[in-house]
Amino acid sequence: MPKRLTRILPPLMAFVVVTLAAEIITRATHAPAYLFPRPSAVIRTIVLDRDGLAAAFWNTSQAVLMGFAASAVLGILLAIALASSRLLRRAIFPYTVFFQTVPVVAIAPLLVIWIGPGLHSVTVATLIVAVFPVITNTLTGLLTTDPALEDLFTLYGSDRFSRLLKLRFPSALPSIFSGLRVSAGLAVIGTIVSEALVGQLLNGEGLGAMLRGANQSGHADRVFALVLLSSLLGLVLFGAVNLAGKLLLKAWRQPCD
Amino acid sequence: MAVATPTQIRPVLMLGNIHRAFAGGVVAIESISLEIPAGEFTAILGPSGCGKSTLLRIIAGLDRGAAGSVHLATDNRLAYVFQDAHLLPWRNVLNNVALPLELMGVAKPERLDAARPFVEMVGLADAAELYPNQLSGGMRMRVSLARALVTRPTLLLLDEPFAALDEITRQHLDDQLRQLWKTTQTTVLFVTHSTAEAAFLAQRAIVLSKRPATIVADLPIDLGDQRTGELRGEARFAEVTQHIYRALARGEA
Repeated sequence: MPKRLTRILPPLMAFVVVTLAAEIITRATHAPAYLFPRPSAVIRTIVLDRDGLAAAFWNTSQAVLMGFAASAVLGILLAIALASSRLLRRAIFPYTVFFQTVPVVAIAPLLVIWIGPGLHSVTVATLIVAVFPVITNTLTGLLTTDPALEDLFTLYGSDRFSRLLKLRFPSALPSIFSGLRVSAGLAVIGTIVSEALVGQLLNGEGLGAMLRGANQSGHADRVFALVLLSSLLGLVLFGAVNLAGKLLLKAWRQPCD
Repeated sequence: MAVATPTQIRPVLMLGNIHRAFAGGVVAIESISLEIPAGEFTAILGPSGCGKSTLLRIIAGLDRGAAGSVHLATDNRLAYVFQDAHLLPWRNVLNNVALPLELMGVAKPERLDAARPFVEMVGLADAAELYPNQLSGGMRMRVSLARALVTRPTLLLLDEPFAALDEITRQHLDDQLRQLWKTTQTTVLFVTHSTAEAAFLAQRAIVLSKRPATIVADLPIDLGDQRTGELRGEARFAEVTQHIYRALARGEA
């Protein structure tokens, strides 16, 4: 209990201090609300529109989760394919860098034309933004197994599938989770940005679309409220991936960084 | 020395003019020809980086870039013990020992039953359910030995297996390895850079020169069949060690 408290208390205190300072400064300087909303105004916005914001939070969460899940599954599968063949690696890997560099701002409108507006184009945009770290980290993990153990598997005539399942994949778990942690953060950013560009999700507005609306109408308090909720979503997903990784790596007796 | 019986005379391994050059022109092994009779315990010594490990890898078929011939007796089973234990961290002792059988396609109940006696043989019966991160360095190396023995190999290749351990643990494992060799009657090729370890363990010492490796000396070690810890303090033991050492020094020159 005290240990948990010492971990939660400092960041919480910092948050309270900064919020209070912002409140005092914005009041004292009479900063215009459309530029620097008072923290109390942001909180009031969250409380007043809690139903709408909660729905948007949930809508965006679904899109983030779908995009993140797609990144995890496709990224790991692609890395396994790339790890299995040097030729394939040479042919394909340079193009995976595309995922890292492509601006979602450029690709999202095209996705809307190709796939149609809504959840699917947002999921695909999120995948494009978030998949790269999963591919590279998984690939690195799969290709850096202990050479002596590789020799051992060769000596006893292991087939490729057993080698992957019993040696390479479990050895790669720590790297895979490093990739997933980075990907989780990118998935949130990717979803919110592409959603702001694409507009409606399947079940109505998400945080990204609301952000665009609030920006356009000059409601800075609402913008800040939505940014807070977006960060919260990122924190929750990152925390969940981190926890899952820690538990799994502990069960597999693997080091966890 | 062990009495030669007809089965022991049949060579388990024959090397003919092994030559290994790496890309870039470095010649690791100049020319090595060798016959290893079944059941023999042979130590291979040489300066660091002289190609001892490369030779073992060539014999095991893990290095296929060498010229020359490697003849293994038909129906042979090879096992290899590395410098470090190299266990799978996510498997307990029993499942690590059973791994070779698993890769060879033996069903789970059979392979676990087959692995248990080898876990006991290396003195880890009480640790069978523990994971590598719960074991000491010496214990991990014993798991590695048990894993090598589980397939009942006809030729056991060991590449400086105890080099990373402290002296006491190492001597203890040397004792244990000799016992295991006598129990299993397998043929052993043991790479080491320790003259004392070679003298204590082996019936024969093959000394390699520095790179590119050739055989400098092929020495019989006549220290009898019963070797206990006291042997290490005896004059004849020191004499054999000196003998090997002089050959090593010739090879370094």
